[in-house]
Amino acid sequence: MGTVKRITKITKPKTGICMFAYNNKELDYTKLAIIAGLHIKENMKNNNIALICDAATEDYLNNAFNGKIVNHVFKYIIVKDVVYESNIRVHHDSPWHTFKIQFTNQNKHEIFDISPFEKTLLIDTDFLICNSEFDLMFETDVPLSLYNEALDLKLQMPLPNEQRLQVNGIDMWWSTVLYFDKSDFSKTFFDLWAHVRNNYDFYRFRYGFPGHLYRTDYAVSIAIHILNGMMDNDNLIQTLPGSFMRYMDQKDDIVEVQSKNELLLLSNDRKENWKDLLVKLTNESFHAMNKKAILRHADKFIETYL
Amino acid sequence: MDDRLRRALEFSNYRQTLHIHRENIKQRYDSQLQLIESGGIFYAKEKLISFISTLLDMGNESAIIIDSKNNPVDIKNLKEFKENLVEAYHQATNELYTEHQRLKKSRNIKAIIEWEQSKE
Repeated sequence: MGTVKRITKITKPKTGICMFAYNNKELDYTKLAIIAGLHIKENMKNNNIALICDAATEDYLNNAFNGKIVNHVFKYIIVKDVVYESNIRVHHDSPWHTFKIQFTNQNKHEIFDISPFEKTLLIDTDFLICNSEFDLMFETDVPLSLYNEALDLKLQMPLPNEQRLQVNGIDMWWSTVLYFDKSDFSKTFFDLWAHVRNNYDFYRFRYGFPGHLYRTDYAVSIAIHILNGMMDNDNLIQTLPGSFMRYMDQKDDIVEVQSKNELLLLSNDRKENWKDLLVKLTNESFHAMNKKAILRHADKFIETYL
Repeated sequence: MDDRLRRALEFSNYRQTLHIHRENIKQRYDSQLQLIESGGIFYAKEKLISFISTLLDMGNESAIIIDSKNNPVDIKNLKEFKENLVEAYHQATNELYTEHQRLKKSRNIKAIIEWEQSKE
């Protein structure tokens, strides 16, 4: 693992949001982070943002974007290089296009040590915050909070392997949005997450889920199951505000950025892929899994929110 | 995209779209009902407001109240808490009412999603 090379600003606010961005040949995670950051700046009071990236991504960020935008969005840029480990993920961009690309997520559990904040909201760069709900978390004394339910644009449950790790397996928890403080309890959770990550093959066998991709959702689900004494969660881990996480599937698309916090989307039919349904989201945060859809509308997002 | 959009408009089911948008405004309503008090997250729903009113009527100035995540929370000033609940309730229901009225008048998909004619 790499080390923290540089922190650009020294003053330390107590609360803030962290995002990881490791660019690859297909996906510009820095642009996604800027768009997610602009949403945070627009909608949240606790809007100090730390971007964690490798040196190459930082160079790209500095060269590809206007310095004013970068400085406006990010209070900290923390360089954290990672050793390459093959973790190839299949992405969809609409039902008609797929691509495979390296997915760098193996150091997500290190956020406990990396985060410059006492209370941190960790979000994926494809999670767009469109209201102030998450500000509530910073006023609680809850040490750790995640979502354990997700609904798609049509308000349908996800596929079975994203409700439980396998049929009759343990509950799925989402690592897309994760709130934590720097308590001993949170540290125990992140240490356990690191342990699961370092012994992923064993836990994949033990918990019986398929595939070779390292999924942080699975790692946190196992860590939470272990923390609960190998039982279902009984309020030990509290869920984030709202009863579920809304998500846009990789086969869905964005039609239009209508205005701030108003998006028009296409929800693709899972069984009949040639059909789509128009859905409008207003003031609702959501996980936009089709990253290329966000990137196609990047200019409009930036223009709308700047 | 244009072709997909055209087909979406052709295939979209009015009732399904209306249902999703009704659910969306309900979610927005629930979201707006949330408020934080003494570290607890509460929903400003009728039952809680009535319960706090009862406690105040019986002369209580403070009480332990269970929040939406089942945590007991020490509310030191019930009167102020009730005022905050009622304010959140009004704000949420006003927006719900406005959106609900708009949806009632929306007789096609374009009206539900507020698609501008000029974009066709």
